Amino acid sequence: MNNAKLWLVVKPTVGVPLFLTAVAVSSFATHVAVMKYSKWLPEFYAGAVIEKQADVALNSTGSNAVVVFDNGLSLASNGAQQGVVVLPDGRTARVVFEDQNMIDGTKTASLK
Amino acid sequence: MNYDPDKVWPSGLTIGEAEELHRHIIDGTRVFGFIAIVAHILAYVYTPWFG
Repeated sequence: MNNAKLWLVVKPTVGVPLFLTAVAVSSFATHVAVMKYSKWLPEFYAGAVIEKQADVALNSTGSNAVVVFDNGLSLASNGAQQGVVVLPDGRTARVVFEDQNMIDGTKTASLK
Repeated sequence: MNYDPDKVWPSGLTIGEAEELHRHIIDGTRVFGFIAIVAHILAYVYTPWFG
């Protein structure tokens, strides 16, 4: 607690807001840097993980393409479904899909 | 302003006041640190951070 003598020199009305602002600014800058320079965070926000799940589904069904639907959308409803199509060579595309046949127990459907 | 020998300048706080304020600053920093640790654990678990 020997650092407490700081407040004998620095007025608290100046030092405390300055300290809190410094913490806020540095914390914000760190988040910007991670968002800008890391690969995994932007991918995470862009939902790239969905496509990785598709790789798993791809091997199991052996179909020529697999559609991985955005989570939260139930496949049961016949309405249009949005998702990511993953072709065997790994290329992906977003798709709005009218009629799908569901692979039991998974969130993926295959196009025969 | 009556003269108070305990006040230390330039800030004009007494040593007791300075230590009390610093204790709050340290406690607040600890709470911030704890929240940050929890946030990093959640990020490690729920995002592809470190694969």
